[in-house]
Amino acid sequence: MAKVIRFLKQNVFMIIGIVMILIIAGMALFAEQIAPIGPFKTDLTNRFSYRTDQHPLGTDFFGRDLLARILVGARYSLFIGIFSITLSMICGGILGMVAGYYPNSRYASIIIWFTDIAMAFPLLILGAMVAMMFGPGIDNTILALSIAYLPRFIRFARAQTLSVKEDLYILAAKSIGMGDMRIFLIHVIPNIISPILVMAVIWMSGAITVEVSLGFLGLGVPPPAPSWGNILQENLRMLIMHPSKVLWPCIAIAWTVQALNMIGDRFRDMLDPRMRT
Amino acid sequence: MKAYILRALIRALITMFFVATLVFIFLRLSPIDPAHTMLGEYATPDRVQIIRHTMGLDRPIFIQYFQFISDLIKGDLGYSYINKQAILPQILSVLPYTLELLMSGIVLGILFGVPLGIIAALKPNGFIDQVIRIFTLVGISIPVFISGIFLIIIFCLNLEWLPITARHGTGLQPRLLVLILPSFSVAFRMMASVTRLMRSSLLDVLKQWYITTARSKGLKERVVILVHALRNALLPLVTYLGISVNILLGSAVLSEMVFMRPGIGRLIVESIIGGDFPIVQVMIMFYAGIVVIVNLVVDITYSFLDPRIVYK
Repeated sequence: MAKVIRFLKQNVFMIIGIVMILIIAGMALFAEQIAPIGPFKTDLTNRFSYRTDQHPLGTDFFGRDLLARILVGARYSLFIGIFSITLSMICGGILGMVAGYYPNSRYASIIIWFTDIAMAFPLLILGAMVAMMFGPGIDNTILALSIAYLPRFIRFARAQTLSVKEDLYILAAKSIGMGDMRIFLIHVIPNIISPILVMAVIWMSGAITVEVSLGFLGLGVPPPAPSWGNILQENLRMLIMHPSKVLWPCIAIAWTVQALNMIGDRFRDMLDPRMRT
Repeated sequence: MKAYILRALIRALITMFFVATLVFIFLRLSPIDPAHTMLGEYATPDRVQIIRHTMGLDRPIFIQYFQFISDLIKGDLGYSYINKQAILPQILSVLPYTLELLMSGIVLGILFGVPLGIIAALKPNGFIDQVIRIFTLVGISIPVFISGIFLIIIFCLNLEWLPITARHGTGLQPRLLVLILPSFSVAFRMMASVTRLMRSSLLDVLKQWYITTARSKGLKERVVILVHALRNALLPLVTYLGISVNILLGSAVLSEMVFMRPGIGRLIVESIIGGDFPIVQVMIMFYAGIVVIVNLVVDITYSFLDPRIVYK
């Protein structure tokens, strides 16, 4: 029992974060039950209404139920966040690992140069440019975010591989004639995967923020899809008259991002207590 | 040292050149057609064709590229597609607004972050430290536009202490008033990061032997911390400031959109969306140049702060 209590006390924030994510994911999953009206049904006689039984959070510019839009929007944001980071992690991880394993090769120098330049840009600008290139749509947004985060994953995987490469078991494996591919699969990847996963969680909150920002700017998932960025953009015009319509999506976004950060923060502390701030 | 700076500047120019080329290629690959965007509702195929011809967009790519590079070398940054005015004056007219936002963001971040970090490090894991940890956790997570919207709702709508936009002209006072909220919303993240950084850096420094020496000399604790410890703890902060310019530029974009301020961020976003290639190209090169120069400044500052570092 004492162990349980100690675990809880040490990981308070992480547990709160996990609970928060479960809440929002659960609500997103059961959006149809919680807000049966649905995010697309307009009702122009009932615009900007306040709390009613039918509309727990009121309606927006077109008379659509705000709660439904926020919950379905959660699906978009979570889906896009998870997929883009996963894609970026896999591609960036592999590229970075190879760059770290063969550090003196031409390939590695090109990769480093490319990541240096790409990381010079703010994430949002990079994401916006790539989103512009591909056009609107959910797939393109996922692609844009993956490309935006790719340099970070490459850099990180490379750094991890560089430090793992010097370990004794790699030398031992090479000396028995193990091929490079097997070394990657059996020795390198299992050792770099945990730090990379930790950074993935931390960066996922950033990915969701960038996705919302892209939607806010008019890129990303196009309307009438109720992505959080779209909701913010539509309702921001009426901020002075109806601030609650903007407040609720903001709360949802802040909730999700905060939860992910709390989890990621604790993961990072668990992984490497020296990095603890 | 001078040779180092010279080489760094040359590297900067080369990077900018490569970045300009990459951006050129990316933009031409985009499905957005600036002629189409300009015409909007009036876009029939032949009208689009005429506009493309006037813009020079239907020439072969290599000729367009050659024109672009030769213009750059001559120092001609070109004209915007959308409003047909020279780009450089446009950029220079909005630059001050972004600069003041960034500067105040950095100043606020350091002003609040450093003391908080010091206080947190003095009694690690104490109550105040925990409170400050919670604050940093929130500060780092909250996206810029959300903190901006919250600030607007609290201070402009509910309390009515501050105006959202400068309605009453462009004198100094309205300009400062309008600057307060956006700077805070940009600065929250900076404050949180700086606090964390100062806390961990100071904790590391306080374990060093020279701090024990200073204390055993009988110096007042305040002197030990502020004079001996702080100077060394500030080093990672300088590096972080260099990195944070990147983050701040991104935050500035969103802050400008939310608070409807003119600025570089807004300019570039609206140009990207409007397909205004020349402005986007110039802005991206500009960003790349800023980052390289800021890194250079950080390197040089570092060598002043830490005499052990020598640049050949």
